[in-house]
Amino acid sequence: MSERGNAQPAVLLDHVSKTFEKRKVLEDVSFQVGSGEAFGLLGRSGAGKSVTLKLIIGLLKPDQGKILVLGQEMQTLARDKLGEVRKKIGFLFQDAALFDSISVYENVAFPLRRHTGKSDAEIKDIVQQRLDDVGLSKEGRKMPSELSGGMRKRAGLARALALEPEVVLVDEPSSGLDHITAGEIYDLLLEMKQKRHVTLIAVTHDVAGARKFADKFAVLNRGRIVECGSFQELEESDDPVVRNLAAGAET
Amino acid sequence: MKTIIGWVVSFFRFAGELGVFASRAFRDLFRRPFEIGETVDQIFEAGLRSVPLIALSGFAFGVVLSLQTRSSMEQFGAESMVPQAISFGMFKDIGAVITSLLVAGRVGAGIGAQLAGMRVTEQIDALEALAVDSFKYLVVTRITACVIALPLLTTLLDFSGVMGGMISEMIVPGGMPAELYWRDAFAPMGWSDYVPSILKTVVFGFIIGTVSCYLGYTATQGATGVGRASTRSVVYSSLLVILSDVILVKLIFFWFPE
Amino acid sequence: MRSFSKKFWVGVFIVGGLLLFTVGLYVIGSYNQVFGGHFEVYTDFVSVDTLTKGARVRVSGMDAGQIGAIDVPRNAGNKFHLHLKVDEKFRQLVREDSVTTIDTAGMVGAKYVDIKMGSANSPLCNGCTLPSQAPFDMTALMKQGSGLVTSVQSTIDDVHKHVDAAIDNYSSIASNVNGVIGQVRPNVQKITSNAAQLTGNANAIAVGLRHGQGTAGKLLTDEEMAENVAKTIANANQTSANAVQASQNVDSMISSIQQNDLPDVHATVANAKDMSGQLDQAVGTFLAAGKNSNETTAEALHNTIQQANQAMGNLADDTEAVKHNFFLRGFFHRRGFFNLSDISRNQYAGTDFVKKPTVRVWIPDTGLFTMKPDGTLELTDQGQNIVNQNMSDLVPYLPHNPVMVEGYSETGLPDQQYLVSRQKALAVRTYLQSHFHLNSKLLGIMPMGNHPPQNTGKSEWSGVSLVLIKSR
Repeated sequence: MSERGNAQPAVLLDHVSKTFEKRKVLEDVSFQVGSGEAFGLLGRSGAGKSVTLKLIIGLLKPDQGKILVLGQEMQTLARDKLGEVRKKIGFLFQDAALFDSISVYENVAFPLRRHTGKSDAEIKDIVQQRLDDVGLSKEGRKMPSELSGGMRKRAGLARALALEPEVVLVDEPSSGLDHITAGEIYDLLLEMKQKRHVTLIAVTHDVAGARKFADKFAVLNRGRIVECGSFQELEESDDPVVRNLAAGAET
Repeated sequence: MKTIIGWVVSFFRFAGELGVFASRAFRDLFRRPFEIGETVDQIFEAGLRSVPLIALSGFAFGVVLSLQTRSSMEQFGAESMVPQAISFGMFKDIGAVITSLLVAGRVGAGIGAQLAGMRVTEQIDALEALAVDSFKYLVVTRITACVIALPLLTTLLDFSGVMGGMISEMIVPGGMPAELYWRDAFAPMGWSDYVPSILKTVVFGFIIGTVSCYLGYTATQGATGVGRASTRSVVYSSLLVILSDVILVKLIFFWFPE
Repeated sequence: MRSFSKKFWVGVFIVGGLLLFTVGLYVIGSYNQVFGGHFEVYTDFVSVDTLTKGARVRVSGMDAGQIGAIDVPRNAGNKFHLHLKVDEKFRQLVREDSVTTIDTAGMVGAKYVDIKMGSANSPLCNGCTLPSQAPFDMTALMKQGSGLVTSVQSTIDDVHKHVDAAIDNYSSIASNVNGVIGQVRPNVQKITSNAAQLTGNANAIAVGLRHGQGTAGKLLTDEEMAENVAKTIANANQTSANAVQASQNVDSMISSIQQNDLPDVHATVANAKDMSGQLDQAVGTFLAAGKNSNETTAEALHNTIQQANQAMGNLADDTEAVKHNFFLRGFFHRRGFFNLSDISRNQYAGTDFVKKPTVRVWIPDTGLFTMKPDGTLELTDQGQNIVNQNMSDLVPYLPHNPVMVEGYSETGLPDQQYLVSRQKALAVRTYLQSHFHLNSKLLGIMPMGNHPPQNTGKSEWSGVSLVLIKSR
């Protein structure tokens, strides 16, 4: 784990561009997230936020530029090496993406069963721990379809954290949730960051929510990074779009 | 004119993509890691759960074949040919095709819908994010299950068909005793009537699995995409099964000339 | 646990399916002698008659194996070489003199090779090549059959012509009824060509004649003459009906042959040929009879057509007989004797002709025969006289008792003796039939070679012997 020094950022995007059928989704995007930092990638829907996350974990490959995660260049890694890096990354999808054919418990146990040699008893302890952490101690036997949106998101977070990742990527933590439920999720993320010292990258359009846990921000507009820095820096930005976004968070 | 060119282009693109998909599936079939547990689950789904459908269909088909051939054979005084007509009908080709169509309908639709659903709800991405090779985990296991299940199901359908014919022949007036039926059904048959037609369902299984997985795995456009993938899986895999049978029948004839 | 039970059931599914597949292999294999011991013999055929590799092999009708391979001949003129895989248990039955044939299972069934059981004193066949019998060719039979029909047709045409000739003859003599005959003749022709129409026509004419009406009635003043013409037409009617019957019989015979797998089809055809020979003779008789012009004109016409009628009746009878001879061999038994043209010498030796002939005359062949250009024999004029004289003993019993003409020859080897003696008998019968107007059924020939029957007191003979028996 020598890469985990402060000298090297946990995640680095270097002049990354991505095009889908002639539509430029990302153009010359560069930012870096230091180890243990909580990073909020802000922007309206369709600004290319989700694509950025998928590029980081290697589900998509950039047309141009370089992506380094924990010192590994994602787009050039062989399949098994890529898997090794991914084990160190937790990903909470927008709609949680729980496997709907197996129970919540099995969803959380899934990565443990596949990637650790742990016994059933050990796995049971860990899963129970994770479910307790997200407040779903009693929902383990339920199927994902029986859960509410917020519970699903929490279950997804439990699964993302199952392997104790170094980097956690969160796609729209608050989407489709009411304020109270969204607030619970933010609290969980903050708690996670404080307890585990993981590197957290969340993409969201909810600037106010992001302020609760993130200490560094970047704003994406039409595929470009228009501002990068602390929340204060956003408020003082020259770009009216960024200022508006930041101002929206105050209300 | 433009639409016709569009159709032609999309047809060849479909064929090309399906071919790449199939060759990838074929290659990954022999590469570690083998997803044994998931394969077992899929054989359970595709194979075991199809058993009642296949056995009943085969039985009913045998009864129908017996009644049909009997009524026409009677005109020539060739009732003694009925068992042979049934066993040849079931074993030589129709049994394999019927099984494949039934499986395409039951399993193909299921695979198409399930994978498309997983695709649009990002479950496939989630698998990848959890460092699982989704292609191997979802696609190869399902194709393997189809390839393993189809020959076994075909054997089951063939025998239940002959069984159905036997019971029908025992009941129908002027029919024949079971022992005689059994003998007459199998005496004129050789291994070349039996083995190739069952083995060729391996190909049918590969086609059904591959086509359904391809359409599900590459689905887009949310909930409508799921329904479309399911329907197309049945239509395309049935069609390809029948088309490939045309070629396979000829090939088998070439390898087992008789 | 769930995953355990799932694995268990998948195991049951796979093992069960494989088991079923294996059972299939054994069930199918057991009927194909794949697992049992077998030995290989060979046979050659000019035509494989749609046989294929894997086709069934039977030993005396019992399933015994399959064709292992068929070697295609390298050169025209060579035969197909068949490898027959036969189950071990039939080893004792397949001998070097076992004959193979290609047979059909049922009416529309598959072809198979049948190995006839060999004789016990012949050595076992260990990889030998068995003699084969060429498959029976239905098309060849059909050709013969159609030839037969053609000859019947030409016979009917002959009869037809002769009716015309007789009418011509009649018209030249009875010049006063020329006009009448001119009008009757087309009727007769029409009548003889169409049996159904004929009945109506004949009735109408006969009724008209009887009532003295119509052109013919007015001109025919003589009551007796009118009656004769009526009879004549009735006879012509019968003649035509018989001709139709004869050809129908031939048709039905051929269709019967097509439908049945007859062992003796060749013999049937031979018989049919013989029958048509008899028919020719019948026509010969008929023609000869027509030349007798010393009868009254009306009588002559009457007689002529009556004879034609009789000839056609015989033809109808004969075709019927030929048919029944092969489907119901008892047909002639019911009559008390065999078809005289179709019994072997051994059969003949057991009949009453030999055991207790009522009349038997011996005719030596000095001066009896002359050889025709085609190599067949014919009675000389002197020979005819000799035969006529010798017939005087038999004449009292004619024409209702059967007469057998035995031929004898002493020269050459047995086969030549047989052929020559048959020629002699045939020549005498031809003469007897035409001269004494004998029913062909009651006139048989028997080539005896040089062996007179035992109780005749003769040890050898060259010539002929006429035998008559009161059969009924």
